[in-house]
Amino acid sequence: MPGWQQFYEEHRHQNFELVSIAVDVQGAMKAKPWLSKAEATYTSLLDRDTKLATHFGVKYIPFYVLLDERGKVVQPPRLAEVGDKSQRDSIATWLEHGGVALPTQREAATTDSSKAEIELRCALAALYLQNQEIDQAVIQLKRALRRDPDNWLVRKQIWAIEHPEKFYEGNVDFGWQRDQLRADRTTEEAETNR
Amino acid sequence: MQYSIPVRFFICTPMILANWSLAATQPAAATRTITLFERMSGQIIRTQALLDGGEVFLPMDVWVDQLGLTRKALAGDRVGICREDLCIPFSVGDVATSIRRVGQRELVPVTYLAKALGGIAVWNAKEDELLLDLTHGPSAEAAMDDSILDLSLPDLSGKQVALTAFRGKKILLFAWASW
Repeated sequence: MPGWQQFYEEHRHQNFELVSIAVDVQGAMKAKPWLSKAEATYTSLLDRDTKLATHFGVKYIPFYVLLDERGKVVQPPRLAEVGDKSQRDSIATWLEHGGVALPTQREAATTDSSKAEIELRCALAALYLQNQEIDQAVIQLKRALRRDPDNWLVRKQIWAIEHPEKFYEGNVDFGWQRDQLRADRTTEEAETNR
Repeated sequence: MQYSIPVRFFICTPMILANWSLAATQPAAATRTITLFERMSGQIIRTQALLDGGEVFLPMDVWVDQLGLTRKALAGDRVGICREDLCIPFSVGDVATSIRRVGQRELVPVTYLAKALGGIAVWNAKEDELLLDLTHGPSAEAAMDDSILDLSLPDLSGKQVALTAFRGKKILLFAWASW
């Protein structure tokens, strides 16, 4: 999350806390190198079960949420645009003057029962990963994806587990992700029609 | 076949649920070995379960010995299953919302109990797996934008941090991923 440390230092005196939430079913060790590289001094939390995204029905990442002094949501999730200065400016304006920074985006509804199932399966996958039972973890994540094929948080985590070399060695390979998505969709269609 | 009933659709009236259950087509009752995952305790348990009338029944000893609930005998051959001060009363009988008694064993309806405790149960009959969260709390049910966000997550060393700990400050939550 580049640039946020500077933003934090500039605004922390304004009765403000920045809470970074690393979404990773594989645990803290994947997030730590990024945070130490950013020299982060803000609060850093870990979300193994995609709890926050599931709560709001968000299917993309990165996103941000603004809460007022009472903990009330004043800005539901928005896609965080990397390097978008106007977004940071609007957050700074909110810190200075209050009011809601930007209009809300509504998510396509995921039913409550799917939400619950996806969250539970992510939790189970995290437990299997802790026990080094990678195959079982992937099975659970794939069953979660079956409930909501548009859920990028689940799909990309499956990829990151099955193909770590495409994510953790040098740059993230977006060309590979495009091809992989096409392959996934073909497999999933075949499974549905069976 | 998969089903689950979100908490807000739970109607705390045994008769209505019983009628609903009887109206559904009922396959014959069957005993199966299933995999049970309970989120709060982080356990994966292999156990026997009874499937009947669209409901899954788990033996009392699983609830008591493994999931940490307590059993209380109530007046009139009724049985209470309790988590701390919260007790859910059951009759003993053969409707979907009652405890089944088979010899010495008592079998407890899972979806009914989970909802009554404010939790969630997801039954997947295809793979014989049952996902349970007995203390799911309000998070999945909370309203979208007018709500107070009451969520706890671990920090990088594993210590739980509640977002309410930052009351009095404006908060920017930033969710990101290394992948």
